[in-house]
Amino acid sequence: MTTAVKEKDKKTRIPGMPPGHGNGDGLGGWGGGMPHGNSNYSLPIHPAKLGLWLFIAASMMLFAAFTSAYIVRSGAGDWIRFGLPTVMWIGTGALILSSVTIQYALRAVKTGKEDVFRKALLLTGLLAAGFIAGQFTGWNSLRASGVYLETNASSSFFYMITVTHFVHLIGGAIALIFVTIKAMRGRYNKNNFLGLELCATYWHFLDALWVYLFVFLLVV
Amino acid sequence: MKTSGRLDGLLFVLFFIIGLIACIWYLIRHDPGFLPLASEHGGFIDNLFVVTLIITGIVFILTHVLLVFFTFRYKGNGNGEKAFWYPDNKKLEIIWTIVPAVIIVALIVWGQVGWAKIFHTNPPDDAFVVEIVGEQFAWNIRYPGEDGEFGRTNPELITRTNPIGLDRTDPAAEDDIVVLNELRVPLDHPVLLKLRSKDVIHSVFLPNFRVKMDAVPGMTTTFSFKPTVEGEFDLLCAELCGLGHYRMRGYVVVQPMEELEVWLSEQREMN
Amino acid sequence: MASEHAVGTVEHHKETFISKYVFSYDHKMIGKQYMITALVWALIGMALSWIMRIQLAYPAEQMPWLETVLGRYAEGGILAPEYYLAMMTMHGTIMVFFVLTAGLIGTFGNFLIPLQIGARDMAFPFINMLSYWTFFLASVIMLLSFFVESGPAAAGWTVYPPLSAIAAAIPGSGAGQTLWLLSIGVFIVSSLFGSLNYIVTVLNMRTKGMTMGRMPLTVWAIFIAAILGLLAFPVLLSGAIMLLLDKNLATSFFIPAGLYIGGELLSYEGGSPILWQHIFWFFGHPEVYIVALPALGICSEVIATYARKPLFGYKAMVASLLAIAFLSFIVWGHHMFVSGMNPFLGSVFVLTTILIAVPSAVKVFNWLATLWRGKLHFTPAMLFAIGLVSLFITGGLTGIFLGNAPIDIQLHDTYFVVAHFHFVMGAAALFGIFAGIYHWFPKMYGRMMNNTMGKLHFWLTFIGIYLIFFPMHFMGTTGVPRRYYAFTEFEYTMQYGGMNEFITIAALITGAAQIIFLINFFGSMYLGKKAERNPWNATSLEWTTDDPMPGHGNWKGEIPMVYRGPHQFSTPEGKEDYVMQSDNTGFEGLEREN
Ligand code: HEM
Ligand SMILES: [Cu+2]
Ligand SMILES: [Cu+2]
Repeated sequence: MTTAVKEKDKKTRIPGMPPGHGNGDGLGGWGGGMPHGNSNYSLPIHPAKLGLWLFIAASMMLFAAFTSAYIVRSGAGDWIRFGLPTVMWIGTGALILSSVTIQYALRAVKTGKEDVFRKALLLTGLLAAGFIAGQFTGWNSLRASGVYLETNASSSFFYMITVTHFVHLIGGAIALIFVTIKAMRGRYNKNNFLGLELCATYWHFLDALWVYLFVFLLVV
Repeated sequence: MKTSGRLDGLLFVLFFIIGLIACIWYLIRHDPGFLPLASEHGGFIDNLFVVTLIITGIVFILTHVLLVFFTFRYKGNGNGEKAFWYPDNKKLEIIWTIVPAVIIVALIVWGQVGWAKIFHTNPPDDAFVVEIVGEQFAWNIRYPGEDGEFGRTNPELITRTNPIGLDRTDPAAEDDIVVLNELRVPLDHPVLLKLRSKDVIHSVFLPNFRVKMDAVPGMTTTFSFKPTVEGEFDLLCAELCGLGHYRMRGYVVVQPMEELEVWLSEQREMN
Repeated sequence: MASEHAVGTVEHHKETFISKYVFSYDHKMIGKQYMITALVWALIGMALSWIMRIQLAYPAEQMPWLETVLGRYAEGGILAPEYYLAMMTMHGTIMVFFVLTAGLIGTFGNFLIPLQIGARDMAFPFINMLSYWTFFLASVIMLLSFFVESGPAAAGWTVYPPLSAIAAAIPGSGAGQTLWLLSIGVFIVSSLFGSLNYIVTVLNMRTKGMTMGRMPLTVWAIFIAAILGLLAFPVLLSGAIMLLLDKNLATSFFIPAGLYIGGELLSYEGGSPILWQHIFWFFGHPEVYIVALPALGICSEVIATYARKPLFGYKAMVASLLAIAFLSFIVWGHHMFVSGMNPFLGSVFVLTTILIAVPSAVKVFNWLATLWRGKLHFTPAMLFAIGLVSLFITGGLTGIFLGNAPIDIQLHDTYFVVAHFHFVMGAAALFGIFAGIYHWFPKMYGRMMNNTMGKLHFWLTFIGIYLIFFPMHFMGTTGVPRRYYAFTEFEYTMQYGGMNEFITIAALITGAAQIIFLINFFGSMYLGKKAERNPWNATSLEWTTDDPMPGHGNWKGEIPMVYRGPHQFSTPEGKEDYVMQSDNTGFEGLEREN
């Protein structure tokens, strides 16, 4: 098909174009010449997925700004370091595991193992709840030891960054609940799992973002 | 679709010519250019400005002559007659990408020579050092006194009579002189301004000296220059600092070093 | 995906008043909602500039009517300094965010993208609807701040802390500033929704044959501006969150230790005011181009259409848009040459800044080449586009002064800057909006706007803009600082008393001339001559819709296929002086496949 069109294109090429005056094929613009097929004209990615990736890009700019500001501000000389509570390590582990389980769920639904899929999804929910609980416990224990939002710029950044991540995570958790309900009602199968896929992508992002932030807060 | 347009073309021509004449007339008649120059590096800035003005002025006139001429000349009759088919010309485009790039790079290279003189050269050790501490809405001017050193300050000590919170227990603070809104600098002698602020951001602006630098709370900024004209000049604030921003008036007095020293010793006695 | 949409039938859900005009999913209605809201904001912004101008021309003069109009802002008939600053801050904020950002990309991004690339709607109509209503919410919050006890935000649209963070420093930094930050936060969310939609729609929803290289320049410009918005606005959000925390929860991101304000020592620790400036301008400069690029895109398309010539150097035009967009992320420091930032950094920013002038120059030359030997049709849209070129030249050239750091020492924060950004960003973008409205009004409302009134509107506005803003260059060169409540305190600023009066009168007349536009705009909606399908003999897809004013779904039948690039006017082989993108001459054998 492609070659046929190309030939057609060559034949119908408009004669009499002054040399150097044409835009490529004499039709203006570029990338034309083949008005057939659609793979050329739109990205081979579902719009919703693309939208999600763009949202992720925007979120990354937000956290990049936070962490850059953190680096600049930490050079000011009044910076007080404090250790992160152990429970946050556990929460981090749970979040990483939940990323694994949601991927497992996705794989299961793709291969038609709907039983496994539901269990993996529920497990993901459980692990997410574990992370959320871990965050709350962590914040509480820090406050109990006298580290408040306004204590020092280091604690201000810590709370601001972790809470902002948490807000993103709440969005992911709502999506997860939504997907789980749909899954329980049997809405997903081998041929239809877009919602789950989006949710999984976002969840991986939350996970990767958290690991980055956690390591950043520990090291920098 | 019919559109009349003779009048529009004509109006563009008229507007351009009248505007240009008005501009030139205004420049000649009112000479609103720079304030009288009173510093060494200011000459460089003024020259750079004038050269940029000439270059951009030529570009402005050329592009507008073309714009106005085209609108005047190429009116269509709206009957679907064809225009000249001319979708691109690589050579032309390359030329008018490179030519502006070259001119502009030349301008900034020249600009950077001056920038380096102003900011990247350390002021000489014997520079006359003055500290300016901005506050809403006044300038506290501090001279280090004979020891050439500023004493410690502490915001907790700020009172009405001690506006910058000078710590009098510091020996270096003993001979510090603090006055309000009056910046005295020596003629033909390098001056180093050290700028701070007590509250919000201010900006020390000495228009005659082509000096401007923000006074930022929490840090010290500097600007060094050499006054070249004796007399009294304005000191303004150029960064929005509150409702009194527009009347944060200070004075700059340039006088020979000997007179300035006399004034300083008078002030010390009064302090 | 394109195939699905190419023949897909329009969903027919029952249209109620609410679903059609209020919570509409139709991209065209959403575009119009943006447009009308932005027009209302433009009137408010303009009214604020009038108040400022009257104060600047007649300082300390008692005008009892001012108290009648402004109430507590002008007790005794004199505008108080703190409220001058509040008017100024709100004017700048409203104009930049609500009029030029929302009004340009919101209106034309929504209205034009699907129509010009051949799609039935945006990629995410629901998110699109949300985008408008979050913008509306942001508007309401900003409006509320006019009514709080201490007045609206007053620290400038750049909201530099500590001034913006500490209520004791200026009254506007109390509740007003908090509302300002909240409003901008909500606005950022709205703009994010919008950007997502524009980008995905452009990348995924184009009709057959509509390659990226065949998109009208307006779509290119909006697409690139949307990418800028997607990457720049989150950075402002980060700053806004930190400032909000500093203001209301006693953190010290931006506020240093030892501040002594209003007779009191504040208990902040070690924050950096300059950090805010870096964050703000990292966003702020791309923002300038988020505003400017769509206007430049509209200008290109309008000029080609009414000059009856192909846009000269289409590729170079796209390339220069991309170059400007890329460079705009690495020039922010030119707003900070004398902020106390390291002067070495200043040198770097000089280089990047001045580089931006090159693609801008290319755009101007290409516009001129497009006009050369054209067959110009002087419609109001064309006049505004030509006007834009002039304003863009003027404002662009003054940028060469400001970008060269040594000159900026003298000109920074003077009226030279006010003149510069009003030309290149304010007036140029405004002219882009006007050109767009005059050009696409027939597609929006199915009727024509009045030509004579349009021309009158153009001439009064164009001349007015020059009269208002050109003299400000002289004031700036002399060193008259901006954000001044009055020029009465210094002899050398007082010499401009007459000029200030002149500027104010020009501003009042120019503002009044906008009434002509409003009458024309709203009048033509109901009384205008019925429009034909393609009244301007333009080439892009929106002019192929079955009705002059298309309904939801845009095309009743199939979406047209695209066979050639945009702006194909006066081609040697065409029968008429324009060839539409959907014209299949030379490709008759090609059938649609599916
Ligand atoms: C109707 C025509 C307009 C007039 C008469 C006008 C007038 C003014 C005046 C008097 C100021 C205050 C300058 C100062 O005190 O330093 C100002 C500031 C400003 N204007 Fe306009 N303006 C107009 C249109 C616009 C437009 C269309 C924009 C869109 C970009 C705009 C953006 C700004 C900004 C960003 C500021 C700075 C605010 C600040 O300093 O925080 N203006 N304008
Ligand atoms: Cu000030
Ligand atoms: Cu900028």
